[in-house]
Amino acid sequence: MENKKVWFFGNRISLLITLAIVFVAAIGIRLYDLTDMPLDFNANRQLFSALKARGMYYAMLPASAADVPQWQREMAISQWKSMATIEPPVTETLVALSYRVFGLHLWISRIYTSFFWVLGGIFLFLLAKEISSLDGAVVALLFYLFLPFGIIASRSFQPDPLMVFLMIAGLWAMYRWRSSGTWKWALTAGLLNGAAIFVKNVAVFPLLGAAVGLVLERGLRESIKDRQTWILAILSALPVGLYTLYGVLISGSLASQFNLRFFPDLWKDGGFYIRWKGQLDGITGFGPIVLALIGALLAGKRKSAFLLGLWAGYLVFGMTFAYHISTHDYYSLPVIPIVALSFSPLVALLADRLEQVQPAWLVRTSLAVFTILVCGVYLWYARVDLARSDYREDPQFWWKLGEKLGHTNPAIGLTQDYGARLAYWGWQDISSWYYSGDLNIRDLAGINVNLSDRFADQIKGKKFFVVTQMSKLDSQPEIKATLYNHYPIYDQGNGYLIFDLTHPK
Amino acid sequence: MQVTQSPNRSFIAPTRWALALVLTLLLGFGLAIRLFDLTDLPLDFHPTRQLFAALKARAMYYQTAPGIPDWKRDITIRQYETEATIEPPILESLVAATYRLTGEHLWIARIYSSIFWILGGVFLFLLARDLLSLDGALVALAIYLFLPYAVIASRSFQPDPLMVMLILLCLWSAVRWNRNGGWGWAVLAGLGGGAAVFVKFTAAFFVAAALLWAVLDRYSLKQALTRLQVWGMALLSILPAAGYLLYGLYFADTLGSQFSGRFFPQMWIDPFFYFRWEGKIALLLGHVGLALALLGLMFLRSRRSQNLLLTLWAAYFIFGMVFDFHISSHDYYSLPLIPIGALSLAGMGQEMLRGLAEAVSGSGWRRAAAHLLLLFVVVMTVWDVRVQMKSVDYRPQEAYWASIGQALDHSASVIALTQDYGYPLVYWGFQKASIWPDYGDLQYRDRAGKSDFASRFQNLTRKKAYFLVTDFNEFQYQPELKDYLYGQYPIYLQGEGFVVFDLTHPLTP
Repeated sequence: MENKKVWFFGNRISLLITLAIVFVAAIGIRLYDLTDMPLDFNANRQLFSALKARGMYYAMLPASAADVPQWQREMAISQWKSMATIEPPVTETLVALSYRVFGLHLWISRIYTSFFWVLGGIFLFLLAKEISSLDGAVVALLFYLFLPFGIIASRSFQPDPLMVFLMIAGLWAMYRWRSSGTWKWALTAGLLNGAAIFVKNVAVFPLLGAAVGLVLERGLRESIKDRQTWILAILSALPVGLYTLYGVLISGSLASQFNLRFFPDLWKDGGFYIRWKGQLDGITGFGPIVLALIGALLAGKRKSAFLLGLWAGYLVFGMTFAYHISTHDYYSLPVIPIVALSFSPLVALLADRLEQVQPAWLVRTSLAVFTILVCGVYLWYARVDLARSDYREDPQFWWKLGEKLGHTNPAIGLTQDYGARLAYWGWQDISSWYYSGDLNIRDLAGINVNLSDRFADQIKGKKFFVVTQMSKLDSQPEIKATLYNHYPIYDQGNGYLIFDLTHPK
Repeated sequence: MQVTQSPNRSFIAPTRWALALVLTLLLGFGLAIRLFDLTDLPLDFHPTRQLFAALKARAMYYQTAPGIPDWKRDITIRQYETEATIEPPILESLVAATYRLTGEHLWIARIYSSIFWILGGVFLFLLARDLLSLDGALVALAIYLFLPYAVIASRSFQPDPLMVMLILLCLWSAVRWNRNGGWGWAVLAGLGGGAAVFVKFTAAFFVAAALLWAVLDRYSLKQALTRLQVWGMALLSILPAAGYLLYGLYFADTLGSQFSGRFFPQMWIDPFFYFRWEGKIALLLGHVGLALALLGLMFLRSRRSQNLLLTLWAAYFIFGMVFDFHISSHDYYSLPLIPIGALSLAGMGQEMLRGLAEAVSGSGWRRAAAHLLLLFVVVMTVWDVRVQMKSVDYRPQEAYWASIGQALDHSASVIALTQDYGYPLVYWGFQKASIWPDYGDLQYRDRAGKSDFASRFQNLTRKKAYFLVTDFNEFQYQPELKDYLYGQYPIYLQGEGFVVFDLTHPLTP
């Protein structure tokens, strides 16, 4: 399949105007409802980053310059420092630095992640153009930027949008390197891959998959003999390698991060694959994935190797993080660019066929109308999704609950997002009691949890047991009975229940 | 790119044996998935519509069945007599006749509907063979059979699967007549079309479109008017439904009310009508599926095929504009769009497969991977639907409704805010009840003219002894009713999932 120099709608100007509109619309929809609280998408993950960024911010500020009382400043810093380290806090650091300039506005992160995702679109377009045609690239870009799930997910406060952006840039550079064979592209690819994997190490899977595809397509022996291959690999692995070594061996901050992540037992469970497919259905839909796989197969030798390598990388990633891939939708975020890239060759093929259809003006007009309608519907649904929920009142609830708990009294409980909302807006740290999902994952790992012993152990030194998720308490009748039978209710109101652990009945 | 495969050779089924195998697999899987979870209650898809048909079938059966207690027979037949007549109860009669051989098993209807849909698939495949390549025809058949919505909808107890099958028979015959001429095809097209419209009037839009296309693609209007075969087709397609209509309107007077409350031209200027309509289509095909189907029209290689499908799309559009309220609120009204969408999508599918065949022709493993991928798509889709069916078990509902009927002693004068217009209550509980309108109905009625709560309550509860509530979501939506009942009437009895107010002893007389 030869790459065409012109696109379906003719001249370069129309392409540039289209791209400009597309990018503006993509940024626009992501910044819609900007100041709402980040509870629209995996709130737990977003607040984890928000707590880190806030802690960093207050740590950067001298005590005298802080706009909150000293106890809050200290608590914010302590919350940050007590958070688990999963990845290097790159986005969090950027956001904390921005807080210093603009003040603490939680929505600043939304601007960063939205821009990262949209910037990823530029590289996606360039790469899709390489592996298909301008038509394929435009459709791939539209899919990547306007998929409703992608719109919501890409504005969330977590490292994934930055990782996806760097991953696509790395993929583009790798493909360019394979085409040109120059040191410039080898180094660029290595640096971009390294950055992507550094931001979130799971980027290694698709990147490695694509790299293996290219290496095998070229010939294993020839690739191994090529020093550029080695430099690219070393540059890709070095940043995260150093960070991991430092985290595991020196600071110890990463030591626990490899627990409860690998569940090979799930591979034998048919339900796991159904759940995984269910996650993908919710992200891109099954249809686009099928079209993408067809596109990957018909793309031509090198392109197929590259795209199938990407898919293989994603598959290995999913099998490695079997529990998370089938329960956490955002783990599959990289699949959006993979699907977009993979079906671009198919779009190119269909566009070629359409060019033979007459009258051309009717085909072009219809195509333009369909494209605008589909994008319009997608944007509309994303907008409705964003407008439907307004979380701006939530902080008030959590602040009041924090006041009732006294902010500094030791507490445990079953509250939203493992206590993150209470910690962030209520300025009240709590230990989170197990959700039923936590018990399931431990069960999968073969860890037997004795609930009574665990409960007795966990409430030691705690003053309150706070519940804001009644259904989660209902799903643990043993704990519910223990609380109601042995501890008096300290306070209760609309949406919360506090047991006094210091005065057992 | 090297092209080594003959452009006319099928990628999916390159030999006759392969074709037989693929067709057997598709039709076999198609039937098997529809018969999965066969004995579950028909509450998975538009329960009101299904139980409406189920009640009719039961009443027909009870009229002559031995050993049925008189009170059950009375309730059932009285209910049947009060039911609106929409279409001639063909499927219901078939099911009732089968009950006489097998006993009353509600799932028998599911077998009939499923078989009708599968037979429709055979006609669709034959039709698609005339319009598309063999690969395109197989793609159309696979979409028609395995679209998840289609699987669930096509096993439901309502006339639509039979209607779709007959539309497809008419379409295929009309296309054949258009190409070959001859009385055989003309009669088959006329009979198929006539039967389709007889089964459900709404088929008229699609039958008319198919026949008009077939005639006007072959002849000029002037020529057509002089051809006997054209007149024959027209008469055969019109006569059965026209006869039934005349009989229903002027002799039996059963159809008089069936043409009111269906046409709301004021909705045409409401943009949300189009959004809701698109939302319903998206349930069938998906947003992208709809766009791709429309786009797929451009990939049809012959102008003839393009015109036929454009005509069918236009028919669907006109149908939707005429039944605007229903098309935007009842997804099953769009069921005939499934074969139209399947044919349209197949246009693109055949190009895709042609490209795929070319791309993988030099590599054995890629060809095998492509075949596996196509098989995987079918298997995963079937599996997904299976999971969906298995995830819900409606069987316990039978005992639940029976217990309510028993608690009310079957004979009390009852008004109810209950699920599915009271059909589950009357079907399994043998409890007739007047129905308190749900929120959607209240909105629907408000289009025609508003009435206030007090007069509505007074009118609807006149001569009623009990107010039964089983639909507590609806109860929440109608706070005025809830407050009024709890404030004015004592609770007569309540149990798991229901409460009965005693209207004969108001708290404040």
